[in-house]
Amino acid sequence: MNRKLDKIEKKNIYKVPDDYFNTLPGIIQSKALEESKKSSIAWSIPVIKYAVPALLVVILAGYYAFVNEQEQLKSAVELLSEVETDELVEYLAYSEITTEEILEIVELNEIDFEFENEETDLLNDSDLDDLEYVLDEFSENNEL
Amino acid sequence: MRLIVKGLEQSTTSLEDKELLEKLRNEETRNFAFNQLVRKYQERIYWHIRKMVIDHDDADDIVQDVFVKVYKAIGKFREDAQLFTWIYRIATNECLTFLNKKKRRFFLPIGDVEAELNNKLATSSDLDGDQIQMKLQKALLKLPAKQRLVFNMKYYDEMKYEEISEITNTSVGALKASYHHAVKKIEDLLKMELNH
Repeated sequence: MNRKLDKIEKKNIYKVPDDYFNTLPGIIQSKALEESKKSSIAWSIPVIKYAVPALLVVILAGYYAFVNEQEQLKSAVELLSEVETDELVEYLAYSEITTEEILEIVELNEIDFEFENEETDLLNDSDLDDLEYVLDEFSENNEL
Repeated sequence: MRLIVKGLEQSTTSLEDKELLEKLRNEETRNFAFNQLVRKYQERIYWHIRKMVIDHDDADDIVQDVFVKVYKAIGKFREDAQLFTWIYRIATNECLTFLNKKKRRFFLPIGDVEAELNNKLATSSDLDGDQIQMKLQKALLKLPAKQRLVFNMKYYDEMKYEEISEITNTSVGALKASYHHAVKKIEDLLKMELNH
């Protein structure tokens, strides 16, 4: 048997039911008329006719407001990131904001920091024991 | 059952597209013209779809949807393309949408859609082909859907690359490469099948 396409007879192997192509135009025509009637009925109902454009306006306005708000938020963050750290420190130093007020605003869990020595363990570090000892000594002396 | 040997049958008494369009845009002659349009293109469109989805019932549903869409959208048709190219494009999109839906509905990978179509091919009673024709159809199902579309339009429908380009919105060069690869793949698959 030949495996080359041009040597194989070009043949449609599929069949359709008898009279299929004589009845199909009628079926399609009724379906098309039915569908277009459905959509014209829907548009002739006043509630739909006026509610759909109004709803679209509301959705678009909502979307525009949301996008606008996002852009504003984004630009505030972007503006702040453009300011040099030194300038920020200088501004804070000369402004009337106290350290306590700044600490109240800062959320500690948002601050990333790393120990210089990665092995530092706050709970078991012997330096803490020493510190505790010094503090005890200090409070005892003060009581006396 | 009637066997259709050649799909590209066209009524000799059908109206020219230009005249059809004029009548379709006129409220009084619209339904008559639409009936003529369906009669003129139904077979080409049906066979184009049938070769992609294999099953007659699926093809029947899709061909009806295609012409309903044509009826609804004929007012928007700008004559920068031929009427038949525009209808073909709608049919092509509907075929690809149908095959993609099938894949998504059952979370099937493309291989399983191919297996399902293969199964339809093997169990369908409305087929008439000898061994080599069946093997050719099975080999075709191994091609990706878009490549199969291009192959069908070029090989069976004997369309020009320029026409296929308009329908698929793909460059002629890409279509030539796609067809060339499809032919090679099919011949390799036939060789493998027939050696077994």
